[in-house]
Amino acid sequence: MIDETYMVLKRAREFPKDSWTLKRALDDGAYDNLKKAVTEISQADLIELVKNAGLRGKGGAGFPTGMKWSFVPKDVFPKYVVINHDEGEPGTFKDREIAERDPHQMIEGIAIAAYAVGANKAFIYCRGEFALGSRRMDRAIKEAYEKGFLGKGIFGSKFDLDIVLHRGAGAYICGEESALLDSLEGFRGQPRLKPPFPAIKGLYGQPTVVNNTETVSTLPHIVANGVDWFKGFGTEKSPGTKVFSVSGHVERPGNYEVAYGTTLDQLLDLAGGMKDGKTLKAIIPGGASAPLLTHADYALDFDSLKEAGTMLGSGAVVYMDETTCMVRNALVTTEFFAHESCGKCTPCREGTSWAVKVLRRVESGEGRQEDMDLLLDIANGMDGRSFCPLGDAASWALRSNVKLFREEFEAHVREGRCTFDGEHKELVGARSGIDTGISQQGDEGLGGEDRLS
Amino acid sequence: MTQQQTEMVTVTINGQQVQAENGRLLIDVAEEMGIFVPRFCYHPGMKSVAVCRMCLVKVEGMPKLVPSCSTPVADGMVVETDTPEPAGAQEDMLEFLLINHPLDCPICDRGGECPLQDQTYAHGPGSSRFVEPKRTYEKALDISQLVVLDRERCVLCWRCVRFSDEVAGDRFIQLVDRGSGTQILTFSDEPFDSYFSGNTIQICPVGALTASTYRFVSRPWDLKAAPSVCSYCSVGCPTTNESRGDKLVRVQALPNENVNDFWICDKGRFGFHYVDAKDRLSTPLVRDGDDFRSATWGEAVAAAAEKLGGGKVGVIAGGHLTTEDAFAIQRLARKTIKTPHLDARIQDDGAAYERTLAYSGVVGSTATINDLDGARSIVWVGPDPKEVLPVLYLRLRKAVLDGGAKLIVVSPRRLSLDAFATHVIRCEPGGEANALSALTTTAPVKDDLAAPLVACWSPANPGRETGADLDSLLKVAVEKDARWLVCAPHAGSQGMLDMGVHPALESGYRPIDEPGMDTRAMLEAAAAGELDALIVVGADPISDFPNRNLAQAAMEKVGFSLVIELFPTETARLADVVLPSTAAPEIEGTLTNLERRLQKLEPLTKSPGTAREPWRAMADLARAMDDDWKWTSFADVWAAITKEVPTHQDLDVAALAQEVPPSALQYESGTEEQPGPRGPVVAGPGGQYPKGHRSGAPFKTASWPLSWELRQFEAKQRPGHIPDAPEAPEEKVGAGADAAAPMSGEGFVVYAGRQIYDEGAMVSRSSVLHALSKGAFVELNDEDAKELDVTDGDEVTLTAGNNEMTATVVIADISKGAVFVPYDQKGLRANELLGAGGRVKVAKA
Amino acid sequence: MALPEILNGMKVVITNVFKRKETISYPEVRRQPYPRFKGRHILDRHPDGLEKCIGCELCAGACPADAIYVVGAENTPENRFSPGERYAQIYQINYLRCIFCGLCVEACPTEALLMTTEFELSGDSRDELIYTKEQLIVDAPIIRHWPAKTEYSPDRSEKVKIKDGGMVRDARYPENFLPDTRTGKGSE
Repeated sequence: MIDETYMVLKRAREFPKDSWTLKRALDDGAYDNLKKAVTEISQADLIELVKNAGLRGKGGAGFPTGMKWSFVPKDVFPKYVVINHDEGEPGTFKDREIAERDPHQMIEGIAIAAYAVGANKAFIYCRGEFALGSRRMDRAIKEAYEKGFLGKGIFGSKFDLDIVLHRGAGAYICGEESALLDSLEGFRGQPRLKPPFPAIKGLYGQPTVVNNTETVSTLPHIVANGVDWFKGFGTEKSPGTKVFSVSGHVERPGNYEVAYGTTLDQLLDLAGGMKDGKTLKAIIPGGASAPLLTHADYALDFDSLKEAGTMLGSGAVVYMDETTCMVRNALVTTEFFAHESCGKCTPCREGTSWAVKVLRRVESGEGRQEDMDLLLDIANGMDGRSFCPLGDAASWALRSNVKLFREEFEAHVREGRCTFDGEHKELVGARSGIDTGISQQGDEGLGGEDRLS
Repeated sequence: MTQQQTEMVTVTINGQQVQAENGRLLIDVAEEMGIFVPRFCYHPGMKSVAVCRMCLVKVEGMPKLVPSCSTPVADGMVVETDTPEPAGAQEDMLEFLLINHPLDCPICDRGGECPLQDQTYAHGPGSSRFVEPKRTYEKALDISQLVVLDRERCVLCWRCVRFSDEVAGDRFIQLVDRGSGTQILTFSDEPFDSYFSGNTIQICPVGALTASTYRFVSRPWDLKAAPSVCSYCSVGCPTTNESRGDKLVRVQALPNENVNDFWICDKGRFGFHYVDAKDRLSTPLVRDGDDFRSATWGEAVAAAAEKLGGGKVGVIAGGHLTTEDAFAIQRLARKTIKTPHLDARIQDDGAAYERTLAYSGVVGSTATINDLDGARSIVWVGPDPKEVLPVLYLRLRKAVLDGGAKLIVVSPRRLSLDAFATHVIRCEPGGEANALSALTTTAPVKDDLAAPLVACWSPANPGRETGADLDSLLKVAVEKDARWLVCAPHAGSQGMLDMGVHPALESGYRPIDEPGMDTRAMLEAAAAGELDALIVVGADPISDFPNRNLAQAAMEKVGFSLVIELFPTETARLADVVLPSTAAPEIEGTLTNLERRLQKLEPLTKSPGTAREPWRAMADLARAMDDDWKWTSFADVWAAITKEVPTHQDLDVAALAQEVPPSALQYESGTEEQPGPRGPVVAGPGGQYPKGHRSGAPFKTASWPLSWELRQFEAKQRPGHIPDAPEAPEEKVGAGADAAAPMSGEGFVVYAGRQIYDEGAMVSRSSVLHALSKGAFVELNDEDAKELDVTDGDEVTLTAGNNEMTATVVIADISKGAVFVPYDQKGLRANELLGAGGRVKVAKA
Repeated sequence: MALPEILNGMKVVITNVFKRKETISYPEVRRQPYPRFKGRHILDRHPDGLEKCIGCELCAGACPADAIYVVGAENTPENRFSPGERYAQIYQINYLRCIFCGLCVEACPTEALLMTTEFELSGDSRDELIYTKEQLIVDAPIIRHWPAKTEYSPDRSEKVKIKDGGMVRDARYPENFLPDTRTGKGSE
């Protein structure tokens, strides 16, 4: 049994009653690192620092953050920093907790990132359903302005920064950075053609850095403690810690921050093991897009999981026990992608909806023997051919379900019904395990029911 | 574009090596080599979006297949388009596209010329594995008078959406919903109210957008086609006319990157029904008391020739006639009848086209339309190009938004150009000349006046002397070493000037020492009973001349009048002899457009009855007056033109009909070193791409889905967005006391201008377009409206002399004290108001 | 000599003299055409009385003799001729041009166009031989059935042998037969 390694969640875990308040944050040393960055470190040095620390983006792709920053042209103004807080991946709820429980750490991180790339305006693109989080961020931004941590001449330097909080309207595709930018500009959220990448031509055609909430929340710690300290956690290629959202058939679902390289087994232990002592059947290691794993002795870092044919993604780990119907799993996952497909490119638009139709047939016992190959063909038709990674993700999830559990699919066809009894058919949804201060999704504002339907 | 030497790279496509310009799109390079990569969303006239994923190809070294429509070629690239991997992807995409396609090809207008059909045959799977019910929508949805939408057939290639957004700049059609429910739709209450909506029908790769006028009318294999030129405005867009049997059923744009890119306006596309209008004249008519009787040509021509032999004769020609007609008209007038009184300026009465002669040696443009693309700044003074020269508006828009040209607009009222202009200069009607003179000295406008500069002028204001504007503009242009586009209103206007249908110019821009009377003088003389005979060819002065009463009086009082027309117009009804004329789709001929480009029309349908081309009528008249020109064919007329018109003497008219533009003949017009008059730019239907979507056009296409510049522009108009870019400034120039008061008197100054759909003889005979005309409205400044106590939508009465009319008020950005009156609308005849002095009293009705 | 050759030749004549005559005294005597004989066309209807023809012009497109002329038009709720959007406003077959190849029938996507065995097509003028839609369209849908040889009575008490089993009859032209388009079979 290992322990969690708190970095991003440190304040939230230490002071669960009031970690989001300005007073608590200031007592805990918030904004000191921003002061240190803007007054003591040059922009180039800051980028170099983050590069050396080897910080990798925590939204899913794992692109080195320092590298991303260095692509931004120096002499083009204005530049923007956009925080991707549109956490839509099924099973992921880490950014939500960070924003709800430690918004000041996030704002500090945003300010450091903006300072590093030379942007004077930052946007937080917040997922529409995050009501409590957006309210706390909103208040935190106001407080930061009042204290002079934002606005003109931060800490007496020449650095100005404005932060705008923007709530999305609930589309998974807006978590894709260029679709996010479209949505932020007020257009239909649809991915843009790349190149040019956002670092060259992003928001309003200007150089834009798009970073994940957890990524920027890590920055104050790197500034505070330096490269060597940071590299002391995790593996060589994936240094630092990561917040994993554990859900599924486990005893204590929730967010767990551990160093990269922790194994899936160890993470399962932290979450209290499988629920009711059932046997592990499958693991989604990185959100709904990631191909499945069937056992838990893989290390959680970018490279190990890549070797295992899957990915770390956004760090949403779903453990499923033997009562789970994998046809149902494939159907639920594919339905999600079909519903969230933006409709821009042919393979994703038509492929996901076709796959759903076939899976519904199979699941309800009306499948045909050739449907399994058809599903694999549909997956192959989408893989690598869609406009953005959404189509690819849909195809990976579908393919791994059919490939790994083909027997189960065939049993559905053979017996003409679902082979699992109704009671356990439903997947256990992602559910946050911490009680204090966390809202239930959609409990206020925005007409939660509609949004989630 | 600039003459920069572009770097060449070597690419290997399907084993063949080829040299290509660096940065060009793979799909274009492949197509030029004869390798067609299937595609739906890619269109050379628009930016790539890469959404249909049909053009996926294998590029060596790339982990995934890449869309060739958004991949620029690079040196050493090795590409495969037909190996199993890309071919498999193409097959998969077609299977995906077809699962929800209704396959109702038998009743689809596109069936037989459908890219989806063609590509399914070429690249698709033989059968479908889709067994579930297909997606359904309500079938045929009329999204405007002209366009019918069938969402079931749509493959969501975005071409129509991108066209509206990027090219036309009016977002009436958009994507709605998401995922497999994505559909193309208009906004709930607004129809697809664009002047360019027909282009979306032509570029739709399936039958999702079809034309209401062509619905179930024909099949592509029934159609006969001929290249032609639109005979409405002076842009002269090449078109493909198509007929079933002997009935013209469809007009489509014929792409020509020099003129219209890929587009034509809806007037050109749907406004062809006049050709078989019920009241089309088919036989000569001779006056018999109060009525007419039918006559033979011989009889009618003899009757006319008898009256034209002596005395004072005037000739008025219209703007829709061909170059040959123009030549014949001036030849008849100057050589046979020997009268100096001939003119072709009617609506643009007295427009001072000849003033350019002093600056360049030509009458008309020295720039080409393509010069706009390379321009750094463009000055526009004149009417709203979207209304009068629609495709030129598209070219101006492209030059500004894609080419980065700075546009300076001088106008008394808000034009459609203002939306993307860098500087808008609002002046009083008649104050344009002063405003233009101030351009070179006023900051910040003067900083944006940089060569290469194209100055555009068109006679904006019917019934007013606008020569001073042109002079001022030309002075600016000369100072800045610029070229200019002088835009006459109609398709045939430039041809009339070239051929010398002008009181002060002989053919080939040769000035005459003793000029004859212009249109106004002729009409005045006729009204005073001083004119013995008047020949009116393809014109309707009573409807069009900016003084209706004068024209009417002239037709009534003149000794004898001969009218050659398509329809019994108001003028024709007062004539003594009427000869039936021919329409553009029926004849072999040429038209000269506003950049002095000569383009060829090929005949397709037969003209009704005994109707003849006006040049044949002229030749008949000449023969009857003992001057046999011995013309029997188009070639005979051109033999005479090359002999008698110095600017056209080297022209090989046969070359116009070729597929490829004759480069040896094509020379730049304008600022050459050689002195003396210069001939027109020559390009026939050559230089045009084959019909349909498979056009390999040498377009430079940037790799951005929707132009961000536009987004930024539109973002500015929404509240809550960052106002980073400066607002388009609006300078007031010459608004002080020193600005010349255009006319003194009481009431509002009438500022008249034409609208795209009006009561014109041709356009009003197309019922779908006629229904779109805006009707009787006037534009007023909001301050003036407040004084008059009227608001948007109120009725006002306009009084000028004995004329009183009512119209609906539209509050608009127009100079104070002026009222904009559309020229020729139902219930609102601006030429009656203009005839009564150019000022009106406006009062609440 | 020549005699054997002559006798040999006459053998053919003599054997045929006593055979049944193939010639019949048309038009007093007629012979039933083969079921798949390609004669004049008809346009079928749906059971609900709507025209099967949708005016798609595919028959005209397939016609190698350019004998068919179709002009489509749009159905309206008030004026409905066929299911769907399009119907044939004008439908003409010019029997002076038609070569009875049947490609039009193959091209028809709705099985609206069928060929009867009627071959007696003659007329006094050219106009008369251009058949219009009114002449071609049937009043009631033609009856088709599988080529059953026997049939039960409704109460299944007796078995009835069907004459002309496998044939399709057109109510308007009872003397003519249509081949069953689904099986292509039929008795002679």
